[in-house]
Amino acid sequence: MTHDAEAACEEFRRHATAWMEAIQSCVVGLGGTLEQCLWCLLADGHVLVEGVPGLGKTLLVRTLAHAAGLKTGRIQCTPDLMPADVLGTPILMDDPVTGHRVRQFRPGPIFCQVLLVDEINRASPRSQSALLEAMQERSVSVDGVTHSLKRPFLVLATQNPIEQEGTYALPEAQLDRFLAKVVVPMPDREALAEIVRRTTVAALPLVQQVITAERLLQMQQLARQVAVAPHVRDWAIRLTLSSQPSSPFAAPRTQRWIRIGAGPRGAQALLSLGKVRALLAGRYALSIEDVRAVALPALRHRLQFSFEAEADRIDADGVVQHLITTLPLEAP
Amino acid sequence: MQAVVRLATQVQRRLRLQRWLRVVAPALVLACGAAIVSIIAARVNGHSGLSTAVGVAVVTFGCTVRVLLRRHSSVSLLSAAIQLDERLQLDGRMATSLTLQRRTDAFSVAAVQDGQRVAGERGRSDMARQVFPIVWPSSTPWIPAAIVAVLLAAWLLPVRPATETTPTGVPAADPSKQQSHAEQLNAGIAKAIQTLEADPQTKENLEALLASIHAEELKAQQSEGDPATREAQASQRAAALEERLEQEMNSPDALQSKAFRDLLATMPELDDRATELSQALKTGEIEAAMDQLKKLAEAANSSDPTTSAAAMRAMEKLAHAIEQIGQSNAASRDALSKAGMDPSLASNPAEAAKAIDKNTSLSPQQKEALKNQMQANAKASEQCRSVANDLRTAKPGSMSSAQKNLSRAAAQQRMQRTLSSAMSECKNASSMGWSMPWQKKSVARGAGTSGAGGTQGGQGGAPKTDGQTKEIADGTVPESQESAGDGDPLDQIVARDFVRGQGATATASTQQLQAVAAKVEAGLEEGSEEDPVPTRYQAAHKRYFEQWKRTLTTPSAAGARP
Repeated sequence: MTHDAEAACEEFRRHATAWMEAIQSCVVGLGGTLEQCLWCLLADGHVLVEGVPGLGKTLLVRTLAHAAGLKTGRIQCTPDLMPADVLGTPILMDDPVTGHRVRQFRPGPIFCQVLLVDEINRASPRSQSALLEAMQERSVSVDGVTHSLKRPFLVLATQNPIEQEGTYALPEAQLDRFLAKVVVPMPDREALAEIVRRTTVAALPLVQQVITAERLLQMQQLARQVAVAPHVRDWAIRLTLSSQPSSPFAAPRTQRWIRIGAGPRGAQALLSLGKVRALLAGRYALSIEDVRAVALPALRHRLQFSFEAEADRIDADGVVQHLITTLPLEAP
Repeated sequence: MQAVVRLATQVQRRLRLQRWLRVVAPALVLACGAAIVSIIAARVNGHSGLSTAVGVAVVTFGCTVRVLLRRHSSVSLLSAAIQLDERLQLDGRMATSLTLQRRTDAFSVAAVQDGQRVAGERGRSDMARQVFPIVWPSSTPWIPAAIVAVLLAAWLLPVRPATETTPTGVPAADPSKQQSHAEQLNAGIAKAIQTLEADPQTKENLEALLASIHAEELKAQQSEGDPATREAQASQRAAALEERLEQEMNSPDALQSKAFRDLLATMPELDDRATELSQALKTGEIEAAMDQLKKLAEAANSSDPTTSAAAMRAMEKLAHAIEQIGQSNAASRDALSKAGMDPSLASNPAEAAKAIDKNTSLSPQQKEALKNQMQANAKASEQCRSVANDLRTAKPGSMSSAQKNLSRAAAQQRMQRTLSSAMSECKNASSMGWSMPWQKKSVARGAGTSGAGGTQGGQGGAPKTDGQTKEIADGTVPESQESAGDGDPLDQIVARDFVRGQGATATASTQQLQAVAAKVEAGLEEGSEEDPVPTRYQAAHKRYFEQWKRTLTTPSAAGARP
């Protein structure tokens, strides 16, 4: 049994590494971001990718899907985007057999395995909420009929943090459904040189499919089996609670800066992402170090800040780092 | 599993040792410090103090260790494993192996085996020792120094020779300290008594109590013992009370109070709301005047503008009148005039004092009395001005000075009345089978009353009633007592005081008294010159001797003793 676990873990690592290398052959300079996106996909979670335009967010998402052989869909969000444009709509069609007109559901772009929602914060709240059921239940209800989505189903949404005019900030319920929020950094000198070199030649690099959807589902299943020691789980829970101002574990600055902290989905995200990281590191159990490493993408979008934090120019990453460093290893 | 537990236990031991070092080192230094202090204290007191120092050091050490141990939490095996993972960057393998050892799922078993493998790696134990070094606390260098200091203190500090001790072992106190302490105590007691006596109300109450006690004793003595003894004792007490009353009346406070009352008595009658107040002041009813003053102040601060305005006008009139009588210096002018001096000197007290000193016609006692009277009159005038100012202000709480002045005068008046009553009781008791002329008169007037100025039952000697005692103790004197004799009973007492000790029953004394009485009656200047009675009491003195003359010339009273 132990050998099975070791073999499965080794296979997991091999496929994941191959997947990552395939993506890196097309996408340059997104090492950490790519790794975090991979954690999310392997943990069966949705990703919110944030970055300024031109950093390769869309390319990253498309490459991820293509390397896994997944069916992709894309929604370019605009203020006039309607839920029917996302989910699909029933239309009247002529039945060539009977000659009668029948209502037939035409699926929207959401019926795919990797959905790229570009500039999600430009869609109206009504259209944004059309994604809620799909993200949580992996199903779509239209005209009284519930349509299941094919697994794996992953939503990778991008948003531009700079242009705020004509945008609709994502509500807390929507944000909480993203397993992680990945920030795409500006490329450094070497990365930019490589981007320029690869994208200004005649032949653009093509991504190779290295894994299948079924393999991805197996990997997701395996990641859930990673062992979690009680003290590690307790640390993750205390970390989540320390972000809540009313909690007895709240850090000293939490009460000043945070209005609403992370909820149960935050703790789930910490463990899910941490397990994937442990497996990728060749370990069979989650460690506190894993939780620390995934805390930023798992928690940064779940915190609602107070006026004092905005006045103090405190960002989410700073607060999460503060929570990580101040939380004791053992419960008092 | 053994490797993980072994490694974790090794780390746990090192952590525990480190924790104890952090606790013991400062505790040891503190204990040495306490021991040194203990040795010094013992040597100063003449003891060796080694056993005490050891005890103090042990107790200090124990307490410090106990307190510090609470601050440093204990180290469990899991805690040691977690710290080991952190320092060796083992990604939680040790702690996870320890906690997952009972689980049977594949990943838990694999995790435990992974932990065993890592713990069993060669050199891991040495690495653990390296990452958990035994660090000596910063207070460690002080430990040998502190121990050496204790030894030096125990060895070098000389034992101070023991001081003298009392048989019970208590060290004898320093005589100079004892004396100083006694002086402090005496000064404190004197100050307390002075404070008590400075308060007129307290003084009054004390005097009333004393008078009551005297009266009670007198009553008890009257009920037992032979009449001659009772008479002698009562006479003695009456004499003592008279002496006390004389002192009180000649005290600066009494003179000032009397002068103040005399000044107020010269106030013209006012109309409006101040009528009753001015009449009370004029008749010397200070307490009634205080009540009226309070009412007037309340009316002045009334919410009704009409009432308030009327009261304010009345108070202004009253203030003006009091101010006028304060500025008149009538009493001083009168005193100077009676002493045969220029009355205009009353406006200049300093010049008046010089003139009194230069006056050769006055005896030293008369000069002193006159100067005291002048001083009292000046203070009374000041009191009048103060009361007038308060009346003009007429704000809530601003009448304290006026009420204080009036209260002081009232208290002085009550005290003198009380003393007078008590003394009269004693005097009546002492008279037994005879009575003073003015007492006879009071009997006629005060029959059936509890008048202290006279006797009950005509012949005196009758025991007082309890109600009478209570009145004395309360310091209240019925109206009938005040009108019991001719004039103020206090004046009569003072007049009697001038012939005290003359042996009125002796023939020579009787003749001398008759001669003086005859001269006074005839209005001869010679009689006045021979009269040692101050001007203020001459009227009472004259009245007193007239009564004496009648008593001595009446055949039925010839055998009576004065």
